[in-house]
Amino acid sequence: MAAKTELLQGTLDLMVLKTLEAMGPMHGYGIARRIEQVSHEFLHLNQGTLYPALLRLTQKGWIAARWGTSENNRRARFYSLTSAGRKQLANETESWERMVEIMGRMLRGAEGA
Amino acid sequence: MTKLRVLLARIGGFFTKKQADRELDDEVRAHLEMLEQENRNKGMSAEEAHNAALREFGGIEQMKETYRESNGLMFLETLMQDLRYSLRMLRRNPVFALTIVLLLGLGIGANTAIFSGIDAIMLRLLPVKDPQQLLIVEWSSQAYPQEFVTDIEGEGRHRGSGGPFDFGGNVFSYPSFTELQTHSRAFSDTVGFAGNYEHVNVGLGSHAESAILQAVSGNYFAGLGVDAVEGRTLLPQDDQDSAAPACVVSYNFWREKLGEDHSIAGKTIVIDGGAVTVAGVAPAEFFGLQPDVAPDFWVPLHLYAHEQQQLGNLDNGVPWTNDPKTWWIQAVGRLRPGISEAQARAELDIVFKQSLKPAGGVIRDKSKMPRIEVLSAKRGLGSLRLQYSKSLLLLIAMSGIVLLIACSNVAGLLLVRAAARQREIAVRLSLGARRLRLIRQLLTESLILATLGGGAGLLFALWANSALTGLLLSGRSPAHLDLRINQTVLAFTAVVSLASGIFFGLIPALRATRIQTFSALKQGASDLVRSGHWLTPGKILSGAQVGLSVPLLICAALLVRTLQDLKQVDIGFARQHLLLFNVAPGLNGYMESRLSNYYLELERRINSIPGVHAASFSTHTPVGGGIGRSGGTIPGYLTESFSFYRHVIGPGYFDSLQVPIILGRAIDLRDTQDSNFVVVINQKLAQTYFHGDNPVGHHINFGKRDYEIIGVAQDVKYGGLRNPIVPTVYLSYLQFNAIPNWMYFEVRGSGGTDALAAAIQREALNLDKNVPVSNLKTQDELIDEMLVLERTLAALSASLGALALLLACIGLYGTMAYSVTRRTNEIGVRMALGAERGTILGMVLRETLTLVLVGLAVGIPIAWAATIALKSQLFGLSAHDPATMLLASLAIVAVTGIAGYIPARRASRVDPMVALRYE
Repeated sequence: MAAKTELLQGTLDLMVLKTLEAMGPMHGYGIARRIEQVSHEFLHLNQGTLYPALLRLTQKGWIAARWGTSENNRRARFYSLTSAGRKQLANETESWERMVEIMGRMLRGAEGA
Repeated sequence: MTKLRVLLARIGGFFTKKQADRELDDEVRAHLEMLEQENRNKGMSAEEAHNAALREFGGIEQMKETYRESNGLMFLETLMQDLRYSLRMLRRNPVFALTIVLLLGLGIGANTAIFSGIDAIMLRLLPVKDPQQLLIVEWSSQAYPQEFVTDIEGEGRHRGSGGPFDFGGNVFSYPSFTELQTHSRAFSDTVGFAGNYEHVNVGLGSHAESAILQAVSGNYFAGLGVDAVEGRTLLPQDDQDSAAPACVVSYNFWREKLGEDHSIAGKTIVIDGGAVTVAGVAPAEFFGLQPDVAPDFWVPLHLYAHEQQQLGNLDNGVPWTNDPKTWWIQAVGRLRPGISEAQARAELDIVFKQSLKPAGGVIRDKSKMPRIEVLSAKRGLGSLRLQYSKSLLLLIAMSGIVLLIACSNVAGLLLVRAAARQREIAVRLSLGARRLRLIRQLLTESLILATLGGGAGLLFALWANSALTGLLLSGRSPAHLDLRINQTVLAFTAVVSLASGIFFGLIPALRATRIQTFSALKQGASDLVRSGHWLTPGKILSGAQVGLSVPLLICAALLVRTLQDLKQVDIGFARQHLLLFNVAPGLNGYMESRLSNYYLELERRINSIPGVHAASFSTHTPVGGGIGRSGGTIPGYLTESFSFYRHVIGPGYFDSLQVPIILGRAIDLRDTQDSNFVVVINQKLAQTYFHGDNPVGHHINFGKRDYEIIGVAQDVKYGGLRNPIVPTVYLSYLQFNAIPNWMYFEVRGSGGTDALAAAIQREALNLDKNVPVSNLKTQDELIDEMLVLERTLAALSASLGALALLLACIGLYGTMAYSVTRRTNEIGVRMALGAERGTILGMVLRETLTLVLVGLAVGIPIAWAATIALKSQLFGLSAHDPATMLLASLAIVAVTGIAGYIPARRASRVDPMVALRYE
């Protein structure tokens, strides 16, 4: 249980960063929707868990928050990627891809080696 | 970097908590509205849309809790929460809190007080530059090194170590000292000071003050790195034969007796009738190198030797500064960096042995030569430390046990209270509180109690310290003892308090939170501490407390009995109605026949006071002063020189002390400088060397001349109370060296001591108003003063023992009272079934007694082992004295019996009807 949550947490942070890079500044609802769309609804997100993640990322200085008005005229907090966040995303993406590759090879039975 | 950022963000969040909460609320509301909107767009009804939105969002409150935890300083917040909660719980039950604080205060206070003694005497470094570089130089030899020394003015004694180099001393002749000073390459500085300090009279214009004077080498202050606060310190040029007399005044004397005169430097002061220029004032914290003596004046060695010469103290016809056979200077060196103690020792040993050649002449046996030893001096030297260290360690061990008992007592109380709070704890656990969180909260409470207890302990220690200083420095003790609550002591108290808080808090906290929530909720608050049979944790604690108090009480009893034995020890003469005092007319210029006439005239005048049976004088008090020793041989009986105890007395000495002369006659007025030189010996000497022969008529040779034995006196104690009776010689004051310039008088009289003392003062004043009478006291008072250490130790250990027993009784009472309350129901049933009140009383008392006996069974073997450490402090009884052990055990049974009787009686008074309804 604990391992799963942790994995989810790590991946959630990365998903948020990627979403903000692709879509520009967004509010929490938008981010949640976008993640669900991209995952083709396979990933069912308790949307509330997004907010502690957003706080953590803000505290680390990877995203910035400001209050604004949404498309249907609601007051909402918009999050955007900072330059530190962009760097972090690049790093994370790279190490994530490496990990995926390793895991893939591992699970396929390490053919070449 | 990122971590720091997060921390800063959290600190920010901590202070903007309210706003952050509001913003999160807004944000969540907006999110939910958007979800609802979308759901409605999909065609749901308003209610369906709302519910679906909530589902999709997930647990709002849990999310907010996680959010808050991340946004702020969780640790600080829970801590403050715990503190608030604990304080509320303590306020709700102030008697409980107060009891615990009091218990801990006593335990921690006792430890703090004793520790401040350890700090003052054993830990604190000397207030000089780089004290860790200082080394004391001492010597040791196989026996009294009689080829090299005639007089030791300082410490020189058998150490009782049993090793081959058993005889040791700490003073050197001036020639040896200067050799060490000039030829030692291991020491950057070698400073010296006289092994004995002197009581002197200081003229302050209108009146005279008594003060303590110590002679030091010219480089003493510079070598120790001590600067004057006014004027200058002594310099090497002050310490020469031709130098003008100069001295340094202690800060205390300057402030209290000289009115903090800022122009004191260069002024003249009169010490023992001689004019001495004040060079300067020493700093406040500097009291020399001996923690047990705080001199008021420091003078150069040469001036001191010159004074001794003036007073007629020439043992070998030359001033001490030229005399290789009078050893009187203690040496302390500052070790150069990079040189080991062993190297220094080896080098000094060679220099020292070289320096002995002129004194020793032809040395028959090389192995008899004294050799050098070095010891660290960073904490100062002196007998106070050696003498007190053992006692202090004993006392800290005892107070540690008292604290242990106090802590286990508190643990017992907390355990009982945790039982009462069992339901609350169960509710909280079942509502999802984490166990660790609860333990933390309970521990916070314990630590608050421990902190309060530590505070109370500090107050108690402040009081105890002033009482302790009073106890130790009673009388005219010249000791410097400065008990302070300084940083070291505060740190000690803090550590002890926290450790006790964790100690007594952890076990109850662990037990309290380890419960079956379901059954606890069902049963209510009564069975936390029940573990199936009667041996509850509370009872184990009580038994342990009794067990721990056993060694304390036995040690205390042994020390108290030692004190009593010493007080009542047979000194060989009647100690009642014996008044002692001291005059020093030699300081007023009396010499030769004028001096002896003064003594005889004063003796005659005192004898004429109504009520006086006999008066006499001697250079040492009969018991309680120092002792003199002289090496001598007995032609025909003793060829190897033996160091006899030597007592120099005036006529009438045996009469006033009422010591019978068994053979021959006493020393009397017939024995003068011009008559035959005579000696009276004690029985012990006669028995040891004459083997039944009549000693009268034989001679004892003290090196310079023969003394004819004219009488044998009955054995009496001389010097310390613990000293065994050793071969002793009595010489006439007119027949040993020069006439001493001071004398102790012994006055045997009936009637009130005060009236007699006043009459003596009057007679002395009439004879010469400038010769003050000092140290006027009874022999009983003097013996009391001698027993300061024994009395202090007995008083402190008895207090600690009593405290331990009291705490153990409180614990026992609490445990039994609680046990009775818990079993009210059971007792009611028993009574309803016909049990007599006496049976119930007996049942509860038996339980108490079992606990006490188990405690004793554990405690007595501990005491058996522990009292061995006391051996050297005891007098007249063995460390395993069966009577003392039995008495202490009986006392424990009796006192704990009372503690157990009260709950037992209450149990026997239970009304069965009420009890059966009780739950």
